[in-house]
Amino acid sequence: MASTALVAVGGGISLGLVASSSVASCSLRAGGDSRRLGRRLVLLRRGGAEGQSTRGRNCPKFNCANEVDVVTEDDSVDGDATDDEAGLEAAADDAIDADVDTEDELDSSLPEDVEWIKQQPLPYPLDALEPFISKETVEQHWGVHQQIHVDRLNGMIGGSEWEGMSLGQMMLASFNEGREEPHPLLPCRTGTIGHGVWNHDFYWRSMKPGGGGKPPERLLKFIDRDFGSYEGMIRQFMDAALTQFGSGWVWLSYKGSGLPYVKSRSPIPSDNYGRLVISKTPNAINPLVWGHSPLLAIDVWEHAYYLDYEDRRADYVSAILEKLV
Amino acid sequence: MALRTLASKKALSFALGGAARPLAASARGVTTVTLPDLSYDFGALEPAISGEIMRLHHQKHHATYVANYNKALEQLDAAVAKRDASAVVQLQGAIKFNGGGHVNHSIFWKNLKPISEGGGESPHGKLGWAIDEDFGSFEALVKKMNAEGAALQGSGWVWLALDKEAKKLSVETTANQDPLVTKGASLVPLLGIDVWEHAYYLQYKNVRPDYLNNIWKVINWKYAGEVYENVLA
Repeated sequence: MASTALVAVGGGISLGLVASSSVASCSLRAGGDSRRLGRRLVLLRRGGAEGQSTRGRNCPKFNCANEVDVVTEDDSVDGDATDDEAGLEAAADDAIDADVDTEDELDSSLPEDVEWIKQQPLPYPLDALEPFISKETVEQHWGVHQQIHVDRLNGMIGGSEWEGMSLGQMMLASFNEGREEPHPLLPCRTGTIGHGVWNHDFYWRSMKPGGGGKPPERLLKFIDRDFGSYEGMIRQFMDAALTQFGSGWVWLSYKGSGLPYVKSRSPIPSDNYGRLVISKTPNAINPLVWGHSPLLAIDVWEHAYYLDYEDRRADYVSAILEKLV
Repeated sequence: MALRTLASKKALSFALGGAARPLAASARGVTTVTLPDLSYDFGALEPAISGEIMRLHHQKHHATYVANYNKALEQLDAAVAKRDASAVVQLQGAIKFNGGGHVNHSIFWKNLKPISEGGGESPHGKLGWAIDEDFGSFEALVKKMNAEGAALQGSGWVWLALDKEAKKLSVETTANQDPLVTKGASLVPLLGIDVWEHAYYLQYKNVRPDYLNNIWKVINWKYAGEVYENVLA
C-alpha cells in the first residue's frame, strides 16, 4: 500500500518544484498541486536556495495531530532583519507545516503511534477570557462543539486511508478544491469537520487573556505596509466579519507567492502575493486551501458569541480585537 | 408571572429605517418593507421555543434584516439612477441576504402557532392527502425534514416546498438566507424551519435535533394548507 501511494504521489508531483529556485521564498502549494495528486496529498515546501535553512529558523511547528505548540503573534514573524519578507512567509508556513517535507519521507513520516486526531487542550483556563467570552461559552464551544467534531472525525477516518494523516493534510485533501462533490475517498462531512477541528484549535490560540490591542512592532510594520495603518486593518477586519453572511470565519493571513517561476508583478496591487490579507470563509473553510498561511482566526458562527452577545456580532469581534488577540 | 406576560407582549409594528406604514415610501420614493407583527405573544410558543428566543429573533434579527434591506434598496435606487452598474452588482449580496432574511422570516412567523390555537395539529384535507401521496405518511415527512435540517451544515433553512408546475411536494434546504425560489422558480414555500443557530441556541445549545423534534408541536398546518389550496386552485 505504501509503495503504490508513493508511485501515485511521485507520478503526480512536479519534481521541478522541489528543486531549488532562485527565489528564496517558501509557500504552501495546496492549490496547484492537488490537481495532480493521487490519493495522498503531500504538501511540498518549495525550497529556495536556502530552502533548508529557512526551516531551521526558530519557529514552533503547529501540528494538530499530536503536539500542542502555542503559536503567538510573536512567533509568526521571524526577527531576521535582512530577509523579513521571506521570514514572515517561512514563519507562517512553519506555523502550519504538514508532517511531510519531501516525498521521500512520505513512508516514514506517518507515525505508528498517532493515527487519530485528538482534542487539543485549551492554552488557558475556561474562564480566562471573561468578561469578553464567558466561561459558559468556552465550555460549550470548546468542550461540546469541538469535542463533537473531533469524535465525529475520528469516527469517520477510523479504519480508512485517512488514518494517520495529519489534520492539515486531511483538510486540504478533503476540500477537493472547492468542488461540490466530496473527495471520492471521504464521506462528505469529513471535510467540514476536519476543518472545524483545525479552525477551532487555531481560534483558541488566536486569543489569550489580557491580550488585544496593537501587535508587536515586527508585525505592525507589515500591517502598516499592507493595510495603510492598524486602524485600516481593523476596519477591513470588521467589515469582513459583518459581511460574512451566515456561518463562517474571518482570517488575517499571509498570502504567500503562488507562482513558482513567474517573477512578474500584476498591475493590480491586490493580486500581488507576499502580503497580509484579510479573508472571510463560509462554514468551515480554511484559507490554507487557497495557499494562504493563517495568522489569526475569529469564529463568527453564531454559537461563538450568541450566549454572550446575542446578535451583536460587531461587539463580539471588537472585544476580541481589543482585548483578547 | 404577570410581569413575564407583560414583558413578552407581541411586538408593535415598527420599521427601523423605514416608515411605520405598510408598503412605506421613503423620501426618494423607494418602496420599503416593514417588520410584520406576530399574531401571538413571544412566550406563547413555549416550551417548544422560548419567549426569549422569539423576542430576539423577531425584534433583533428580523428587524435588522428589514433595516438593512431597506438601506440596500435605497442604495440600489441611487446606483441605478446614477447608472453605476458596478455599484448595482455590488449590492446584490446584501439584497439577497437581507431581503431573503425578511422573506423567509415573514413566512416563518406564520408557520408557527401556539398549541392553544391549533399549533401542532396534523394537516388535514388536500395537503394531508398530498403529504401521504408524496411522502408515504406524515411521520415520514417529519422524519425527512428533521434529517435534512439536522444535516444542514452551517446556517440555512429546511422547507416543505410545493412545485406548482409539477404539483408535487418536496423537502428542500437552502443555505444562509437564500429564499426557496433559489432552488427552483416554480417552488412555493408551504413551511420553513429556520436552522440558523440563533433560532435555537439559547434554549437547545448545539442540540439542533431536539429543536427540530420539538418545533412540530407549534407548527401551523392550517396556514400551510391554505397556501397549498390557493396555489393549486
